[in-house]
Amino acid sequence: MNRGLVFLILLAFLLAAVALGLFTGGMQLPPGEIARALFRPGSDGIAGTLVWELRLPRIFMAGMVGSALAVCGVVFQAILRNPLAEPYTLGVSGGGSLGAVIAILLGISGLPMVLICFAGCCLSIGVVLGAASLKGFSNSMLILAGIIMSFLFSSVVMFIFAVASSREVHSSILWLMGSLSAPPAGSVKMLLMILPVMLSLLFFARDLNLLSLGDEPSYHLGLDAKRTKTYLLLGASLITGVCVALSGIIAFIGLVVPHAVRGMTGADHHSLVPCSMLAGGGFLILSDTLSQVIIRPLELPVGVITGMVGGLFFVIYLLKARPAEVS
Amino acid sequence: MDLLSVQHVTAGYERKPVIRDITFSIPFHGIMGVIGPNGAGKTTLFRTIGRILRPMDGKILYCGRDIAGMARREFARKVAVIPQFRSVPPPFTVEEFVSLGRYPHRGRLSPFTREDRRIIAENLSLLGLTDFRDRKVSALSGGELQRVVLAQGLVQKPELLLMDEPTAHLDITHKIRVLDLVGSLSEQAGLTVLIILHDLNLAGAYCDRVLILKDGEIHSSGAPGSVLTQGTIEEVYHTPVRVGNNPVTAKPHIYFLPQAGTAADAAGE
Repeated sequence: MNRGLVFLILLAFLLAAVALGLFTGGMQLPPGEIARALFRPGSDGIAGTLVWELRLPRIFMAGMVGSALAVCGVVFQAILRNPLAEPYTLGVSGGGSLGAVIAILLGISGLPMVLICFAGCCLSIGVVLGAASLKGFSNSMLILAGIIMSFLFSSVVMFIFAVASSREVHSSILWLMGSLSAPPAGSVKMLLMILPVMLSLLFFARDLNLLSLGDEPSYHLGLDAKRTKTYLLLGASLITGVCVALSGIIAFIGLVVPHAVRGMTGADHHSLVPCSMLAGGGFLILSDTLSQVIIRPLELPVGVITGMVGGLFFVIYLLKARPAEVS
Repeated sequence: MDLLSVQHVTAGYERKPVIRDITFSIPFHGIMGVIGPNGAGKTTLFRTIGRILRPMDGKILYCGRDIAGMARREFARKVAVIPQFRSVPPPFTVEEFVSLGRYPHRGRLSPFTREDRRIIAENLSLLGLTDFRDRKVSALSGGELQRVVLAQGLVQKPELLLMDEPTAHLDITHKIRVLDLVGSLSEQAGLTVLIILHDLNLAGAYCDRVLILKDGEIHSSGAPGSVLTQGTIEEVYHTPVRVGNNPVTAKPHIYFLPQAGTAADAAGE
């Protein structure tokens, strides 16, 4: 398919998801009121508060987290040369969940909890990248270290579950499923801080193309693979860490969206990177809107929706794709 | 001055040298073949010249400059490397995959110029890949993939082309096609080629000079006619052979003497 066309279609998808998220949600208001509030920022009344303080920040967050996870998935799949790689492969989510569970256990919430969770993410990033750097960032070492750290952290989480009260366990599990329902103050600012890192990935399309061939072929084509890999792995891990800290472990986006987009654009990262950003953002906004309306007035954790939709999509994709294209 | 000069190079893995004190040089133009038994250090030598391995001792000069001091991109503009083992590549189209070979010539943000497009199209047609340009490389056969990889190396517009067993896994038609092409490039475009070959007859037929490695050291080197002799081959490979000449090209041709065959002949007499 023509790349420009794919880009426009995905842009339209993102805008449609934004519009849908703006006009529907847990609370129903007439569309006219929402539209009026939208064009009068700072206006009082329920509609103004709903649009400007609840829906728009939430849509922004879903869009950012979705596109961040999708583009990190692209980066990890290219660097690790593994179709099953995703943003959580290097164990970022393991450290994040340990941090979050400890925070819940200590009764900490809001921004401090986000920071503890992010510290957990940084801990696992540090250990995995540190261990891998001893072996020249070889892919097998990265993947193994990531899996080992995930197991280690989840065992500690299990241990905490075993000794914690059932209420704490329940709220931890809800967190682990991933949710955008109660973003702590400062979330938008944190996301704005990772935005430059995310946008910088757009300038690494050429490097990602080369790295997806493997380390040695990329050396032969003039890339300093080790330095580029270090920057990309660190950048993508930190972006993932911020996402995990703010919204928990939202499943499947980072795995499915890159594959879906690759099916449309091909493997060239010049179009894969921006298109995955659009698709990931649109997909998470849409899933988040669904999570608010399916069992209204209650909310589902959005990770449940992305997991189900993503899993279903992946099965169909795998069955339809010719074997040579699954990678 | 030679194009590449390898001086007293010792290299290997984890402090254990595989090749020791190797010294030879590659003159401008022509095809130099590297042969030798498995484990003789051919690929280690190849990876050291391709800058994947750093020499433990000695140095390699490219036009008089130590390659260790050259920037990666600069080196990639002069030397293209076609390694032996390749895993299944990502699903690029043939044209995208070949285009990656232009990266050393363009900055991160500069798009391909008309010149780049011309070079890519030229090499696609040179290797008979024009009709394949939109196919996915992950869906190609071994022979097609080999040509695509060679095209990627050629669009780098290198002065020196390093090839490790480019004809392994190819049938005889494709072997001859690939080597004929390499030969004509070296003759017409002035490309210098260093090629590892397992097939002694192909080495004899296509190389201007042959280097024989044995146990990590240079056993002998020179024109195929002077190196590919019965004595040398039997000594290096521990296999009985006879050497004759190709009736058309007069290049050395090695005949193998299977044990079972000689026994049967003897019984028949």
